[in-house]
Amino acid sequence: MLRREFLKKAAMLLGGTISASVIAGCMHESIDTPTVFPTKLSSLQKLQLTLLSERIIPRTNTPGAIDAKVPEFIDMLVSKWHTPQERQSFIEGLNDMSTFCDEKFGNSLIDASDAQLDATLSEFESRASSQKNMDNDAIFPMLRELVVVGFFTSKVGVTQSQVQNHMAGQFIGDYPANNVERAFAPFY
Amino acid sequence: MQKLKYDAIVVGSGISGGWAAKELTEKGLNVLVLDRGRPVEHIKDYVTEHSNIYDLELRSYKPRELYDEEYPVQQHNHVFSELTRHFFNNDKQNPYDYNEDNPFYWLRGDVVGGRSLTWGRQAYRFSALDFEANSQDNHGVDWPIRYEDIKDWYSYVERYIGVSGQKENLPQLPDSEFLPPMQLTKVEQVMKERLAQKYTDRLLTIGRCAILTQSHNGRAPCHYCGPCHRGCMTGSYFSSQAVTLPAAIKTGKLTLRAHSVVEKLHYDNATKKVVSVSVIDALTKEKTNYHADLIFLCASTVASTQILLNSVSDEFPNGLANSSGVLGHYLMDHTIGISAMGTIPGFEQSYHFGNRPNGTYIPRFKNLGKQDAPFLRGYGYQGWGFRTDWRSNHENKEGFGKDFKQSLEQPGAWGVGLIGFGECLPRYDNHMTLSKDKVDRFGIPQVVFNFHWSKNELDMRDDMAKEAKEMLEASGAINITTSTHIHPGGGAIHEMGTARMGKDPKTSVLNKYNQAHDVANLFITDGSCMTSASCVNPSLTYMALTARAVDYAVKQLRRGDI
Repeated sequence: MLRREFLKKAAMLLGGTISASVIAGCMHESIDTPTVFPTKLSSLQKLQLTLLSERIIPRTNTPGAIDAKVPEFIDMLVSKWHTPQERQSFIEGLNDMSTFCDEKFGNSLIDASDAQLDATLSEFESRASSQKNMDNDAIFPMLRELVVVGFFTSKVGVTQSQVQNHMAGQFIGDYPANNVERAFAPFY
Repeated sequence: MQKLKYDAIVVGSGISGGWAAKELTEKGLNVLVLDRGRPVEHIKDYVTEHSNIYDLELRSYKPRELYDEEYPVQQHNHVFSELTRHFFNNDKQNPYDYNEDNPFYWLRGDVVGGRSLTWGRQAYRFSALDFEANSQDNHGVDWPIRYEDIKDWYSYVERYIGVSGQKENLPQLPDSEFLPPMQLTKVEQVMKERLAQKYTDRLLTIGRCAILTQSHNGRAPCHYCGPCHRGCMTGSYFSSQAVTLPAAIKTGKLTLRAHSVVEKLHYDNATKKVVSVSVIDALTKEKTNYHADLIFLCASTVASTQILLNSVSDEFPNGLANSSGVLGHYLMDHTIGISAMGTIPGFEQSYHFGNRPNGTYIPRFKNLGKQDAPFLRGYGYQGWGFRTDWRSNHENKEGFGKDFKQSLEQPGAWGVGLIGFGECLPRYDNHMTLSKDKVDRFGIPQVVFNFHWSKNELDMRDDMAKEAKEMLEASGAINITTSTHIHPGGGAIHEMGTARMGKDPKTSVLNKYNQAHDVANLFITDGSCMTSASCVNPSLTYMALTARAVDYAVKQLRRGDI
């Protein structure tokens, strides 16, 4: 749960004095399966991804996923960074959501209302949490993580959705939380 | 025509080598410092120092294919990322004989300044207890020195580098010459108070670190950006680049040669001394012999011992200065792991401002004075108490959309954790040798490790988790998880031993001044000299031992005894 951030925090405190073997279990295994599966998202899938991303991190009084170019970031990760296995899971997952939306609402994802998109996301969230293992194959946690990371590590996410304070100049251990509107952005 | 003869040669420019260079040049010697890595110039080459995460193509994701292909070992260093990769060894280019069935992590820099650029900056003195440990329980050999022998040298280096911390008057963790301590967070202060209520044998204090909290010797205080391991333009944490190399350069007596791989040392049986150092240029592969009256090996525990094992002669067929046969043996590391972590409810009105590159410390409380635990020696904890952020909070939150987003925009619960650091016994079986059939791209035999944790370390590790859980409970933490996971040897990046100090030339490589018993002009002052490991971070001790050894060596040299 808190493990990943704690490890980052530990890394910051300890510098080079801790090995990542401590995070055994957090590491993704790369499984190279031969595949003829597509190596990138289609235009339709990019559009679906854009709509879903904005439902996950919508524009509020701060910018949202589209403002932060999250769909473009995820598109890049899927084509360049995902293992073939992860890419296949992601694309199949998107297709499953699309099929669900079609069948349930008679609307494709790109024609769906916000409420129908939300219902689709909720359906896949509950499917993922009812699975015994919250594995990497479930589309909802996979998609949500990419959107969250993509958003909060974007320039918009760092500077407008969080408070950038990388050159603090001092450390105050007991600082009134009310003095700041949002969380300080982590500096890696 | 390049100069081939110097008063002294220092191999390595990291924490120990930088100190040797500073001390030797300040005493008037002409010094050649050799480092196998590429040059890193202070400030100019800290190319990622204040880079933002959004400037990286993959942001916080790692380029896994590249890491698996070229950095299969170094990626286990927790500060290894695209923001620091340029400071580390390329495992594909510079391999060792890695054994997947019994892994040992050799985590190494490949730059001038070495690991002083990326180290954890924690600075603790060994105590009287540590220097007596081997003689008390008969593991390893007795240290040839005691705390009193090194005490003033600790002060000497601390005054120069600047160590921040809080005086605590503990015999098991002697105070340093402190700059003002960094502040505790609200919840760390709460932990400190609650632990003080429950325990009489332990306390929580701010981490002691080689980071400036006020201007010191011409260096500016920390600006609290956080990730020191990227390099620091204000030179606020100790690195060779910021502290020791500038001092050596100032004397006008330093020659620093990067890309210089030391192949072997040449021993002359007539004078019983090392007469020259064989260097391979990493770029051109050209070989050059450099001569000097005095040799300081400071290449790091494993690298220094590799050089000695590769320096064979008729007189030393098993490696230079190895008449004892213990060279390469008694390899140690610390056991490090997040023993327990959790969250502390309440105190949401408090936050923290700035990124403090330092944690808390709970000094050793087991087996002090009397044997009260079912294992030998002891351990300490480093820790933290900070508010969590979106990075962990999104994983345990349900949903999506406006409320989800807005909750991630706020500071999360107070997260607390304790990281146990356990002492490792010196054991003959834990050793490194040279491969008989595998060489690197310079033709130098690759290092082979054979390292296992003993029952003592494993038992201690269990106790660390148990006590950490109890202390977090006493601090009011909830959602506590514990871990007794143990990393392969080397994972703590505190590898020590392999050319240990000792009283008897038959059972040790170095005498009480880090001078080789067998070779009068050879000194080794990096981690390989360590006779036992303590449970505290060792770098400060390397610095003190180095300064002390240089003082002795130069006196001996001037007296004509070397």
